Amino acid sequence: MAAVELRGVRKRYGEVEVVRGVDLTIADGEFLVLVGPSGCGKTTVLRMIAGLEELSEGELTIAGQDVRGVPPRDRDIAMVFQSYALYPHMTVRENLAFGLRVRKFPAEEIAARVAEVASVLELAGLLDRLPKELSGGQRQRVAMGRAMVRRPKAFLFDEPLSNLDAALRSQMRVEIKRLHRELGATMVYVTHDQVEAMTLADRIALLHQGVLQQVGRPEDLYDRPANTFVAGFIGSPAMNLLDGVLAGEPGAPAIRGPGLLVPLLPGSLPAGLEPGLRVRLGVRPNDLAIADARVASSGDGFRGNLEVLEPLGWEVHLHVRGEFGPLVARVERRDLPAPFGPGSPVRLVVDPAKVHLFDAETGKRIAADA
Amino acid sequence: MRRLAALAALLPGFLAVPAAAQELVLWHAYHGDEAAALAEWAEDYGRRTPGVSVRLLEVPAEAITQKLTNAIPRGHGPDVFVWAHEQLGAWVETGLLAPLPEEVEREAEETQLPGTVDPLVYGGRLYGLPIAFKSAALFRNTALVPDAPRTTGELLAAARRFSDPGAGRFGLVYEVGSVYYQAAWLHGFGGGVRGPDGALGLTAPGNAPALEFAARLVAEGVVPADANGALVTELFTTGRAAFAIQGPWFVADCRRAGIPFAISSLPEVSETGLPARPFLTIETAYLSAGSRHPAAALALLRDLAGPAAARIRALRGGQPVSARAAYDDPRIAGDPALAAFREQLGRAVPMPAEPAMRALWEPAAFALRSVLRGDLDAATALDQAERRFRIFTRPPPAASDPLPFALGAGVVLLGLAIFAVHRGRRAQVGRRIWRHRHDYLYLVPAGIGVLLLLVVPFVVGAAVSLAAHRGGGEFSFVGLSNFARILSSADFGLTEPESFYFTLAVTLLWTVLNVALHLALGVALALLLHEPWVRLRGVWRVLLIVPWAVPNYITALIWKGMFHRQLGAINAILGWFGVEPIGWFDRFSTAFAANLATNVWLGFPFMMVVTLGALQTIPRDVEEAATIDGAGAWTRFWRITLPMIRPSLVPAVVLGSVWTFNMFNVIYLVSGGDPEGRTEILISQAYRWAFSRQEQYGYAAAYAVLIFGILLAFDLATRRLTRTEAGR
Repeated sequence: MAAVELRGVRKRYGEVEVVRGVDLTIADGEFLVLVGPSGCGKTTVLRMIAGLEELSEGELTIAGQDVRGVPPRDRDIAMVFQSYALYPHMTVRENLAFGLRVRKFPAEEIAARVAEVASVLELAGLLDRLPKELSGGQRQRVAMGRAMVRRPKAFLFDEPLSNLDAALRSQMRVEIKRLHRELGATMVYVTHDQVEAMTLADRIALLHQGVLQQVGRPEDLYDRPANTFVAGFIGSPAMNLLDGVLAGEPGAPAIRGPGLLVPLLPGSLPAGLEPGLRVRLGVRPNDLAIADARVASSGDGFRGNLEVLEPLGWEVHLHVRGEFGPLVARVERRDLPAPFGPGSPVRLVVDPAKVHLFDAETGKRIAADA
Repeated sequence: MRRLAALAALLPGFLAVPAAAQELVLWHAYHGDEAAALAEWAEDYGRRTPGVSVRLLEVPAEAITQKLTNAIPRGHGPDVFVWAHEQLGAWVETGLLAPLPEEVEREAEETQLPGTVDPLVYGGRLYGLPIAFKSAALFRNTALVPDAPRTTGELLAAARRFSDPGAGRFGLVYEVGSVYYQAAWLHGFGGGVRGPDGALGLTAPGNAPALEFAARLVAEGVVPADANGALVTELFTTGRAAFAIQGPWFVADCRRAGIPFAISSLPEVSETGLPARPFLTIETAYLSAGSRHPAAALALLRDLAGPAAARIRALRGGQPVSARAAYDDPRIAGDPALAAFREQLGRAVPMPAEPAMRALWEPAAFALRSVLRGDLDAATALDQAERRFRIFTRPPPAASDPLPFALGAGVVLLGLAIFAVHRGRRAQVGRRIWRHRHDYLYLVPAGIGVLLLLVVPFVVGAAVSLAAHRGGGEFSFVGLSNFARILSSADFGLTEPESFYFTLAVTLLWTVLNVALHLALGVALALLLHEPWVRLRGVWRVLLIVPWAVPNYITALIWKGMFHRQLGAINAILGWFGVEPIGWFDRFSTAFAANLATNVWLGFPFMMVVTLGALQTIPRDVEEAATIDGAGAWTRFWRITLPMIRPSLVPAVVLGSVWTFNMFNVIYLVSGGDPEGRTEILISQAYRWAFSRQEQYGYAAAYAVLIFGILLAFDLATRRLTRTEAGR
């Protein structure tokens, strides 16, 4: 088990810089998820840790040892590929044993480890099959087993679940989580799926255009997104981001915009902000509530008209359009007013404590505690 | 519309044939000035002879005998054709030639030079008219040697003075390994290609000293070893040789090079006092037995052999013509080259025209070359050659009754048919075919093609293997005796190059080494090209495929040139490192290596392309997974890459093995079987039996059937191997 540390890591392919100065410390035994949209450089970071790509610049240590120039096989890491990358001409047993055999482990040791991993992953009955005779989920488990059997310092996962169907994916998520708890190994997991990131990670590192946007526990990213990109990326449905200006008296601040007026908690803003400052207002759909219909024509909140109503059983997604633009709210079905359909006017309100503010210029979070 | 117009244009041509002139067709193998001279005469003849037109058809020299043999009996051959007289006996035997009337013979005796008519008489009848003659004579560079030598002693004395092999200068150059040129020494030492009884053979007493004489010339460095026509031309026309032995065709080369030269008869052999007499070939105009206008064709023939035509050929084509009257023309009489060849004609020996002569060249050449190399003494070499010649010309096995074979084959076929019907009925094949009859209809054209192009030739070839055949003769049924002779190695000892087992061993060694090297080189280059850091990959790939894209006979001829002892690039490169010139085709190991190098060059691109294709199918992930699992490049190759490309490589190896097993071109063109036929493989050996040993087609076909059997067994074995593997 080992910590992994990246300092000022950059990767260039010719003129194009895909990783632009990443500083990241992954603690021993930590489950870190590298998340970001496709093309953000997350897989490149993972491949640099694995040794499949050279660093263009920066430092990389595993267990305190500088591994620049160290070939992959001497880094003592294991990697699970998106495509599983099983050896198609070898049986499951041979696939699992390959890494140990090339490292000249004694035969009994190999047999014992393979048996152990096979039983943990429920592969015991499949050991003599070829990969082409397995289902997608079984192949996925073999790929994991091939990594586990080596007992490496760190596991690297490159979107390992993206080729599975939704049901299998959530099942495997639980499985991986359990494995991490049992093995206690350092794991670096790359995904573009924020649900996987939220559910699996001890900490999430969110990457966008080769730059780390925020690193922290899942709830940190969810509750206190560092900027509008993080705010929009984490959470589903995505956070609503609307334009507004800072208004109200110093004791009772509020955000005003076209079709909206949102009061803020006193003391939630850093000192010295001028009224009139242009901001981005962030509100999660589930923090919105339908205001009492009787006061619909006046007061604060977001005023608009319902465009689409998406019923999801217990909850309902409301797509509302106002002067501020489109807005999504997630409410309980029982909270809907009686006659309610597309075109109905609606006013949505938010708990001031749940409002996120970002600088309109820089996109950075504005908060007293920031 | 256009098609109609074309048809209309053709019609008058068709209609004109019966109405107007008789068209006489003349086949020849001339080109250049000689062809132009013939054309000039043909045009002239058409003008002079109303109602007759002459159509000339130039047929490639290497194809003309085959084409004549095929075309004349079927009635679409020429009326008249021109070719050397050596085939005359075989052609008379097969009935291709019409004899000429006696008055024509008497006329020819009077009007043609002495010695040019007799060789055309076969079985007491004249079968053609001479139009020109060819023999070797002695060319000398008059700047180096002003006077013609009268004896070999004088020749050698002058030659030795000039020779300096180290500086690339030789006293005398000629194709020393060729029996055609050696014949002059054979005759000069009192020997020749006829025994004391007059029959063809190499037993004449003068032959051994003649061979030793030639070997001495090479050993002393007076004559360059391995000289071919190109080297002779090169050395003599650049003034680096004092003498050359060459034929009339060499005159143009010398004149073009502008060197001072003169031609004289070959000298007397000092040891015997006999003149060195070269082989004489008569360019002959023949009357085809299949001509539809024999009278007109005979008239054409006589004109072609007459003085007017001869003048054109002598002046325009530079040919030594045989018509006496032509030499009345002062321009012809004054041509020193023509005069010299006319003089040599008086001291030349007509090439034997019997069919068996064609089986003598190969054994005689083996004997000559092994003496030149110093491998054998002359007497032993000649004994071996005589023995080979006897075997090649032995009478065919006694004809046997085909009835038992036919009955046996009938029973087997009937059994197979019953079995097939039984199986077919159980599987309801008939009903299934009927249900899909329209689908099968679409297969009929392809089926006919396969039948005509594959099945019929195969069955005919297999049937021929049960027959015996000698040059020009009929096929006679001999059962399995061809196979018995081949497989029991009845004629040759197991270690003799003509034995089936020796050739088989060479063929197997050839195939295994080639395929192994193709595979190793092809896979290695493909892996290299597959590496991401290789720049200009497309360029390399194209360059490496070039050897494959060039027709393989061209490549083979280029490599043959590169392995030449004096002129070849390989010896030149080895020379930079101080290696003495190697006679690549003097020893089995080096000749085999030369063949191997050529064929590896030809063969690796195929394996490379197959491997490159297979490598594309290996996901990068899998290789990376192996890298992370701890496999180095070597382990990755053997444990991951190779097993994954194997399914593509196995068929390529099977295919490559079959190709290599039958790679005739390289063997025939590079080593040509040298030394002594030891580097022949089965397919080239079969070719020798068919085409240079008296057309023993049955024997050759038996070789072909055996080759087929071996390759079929190989294919079935590898198929079983891959099937068990796939089922694993």
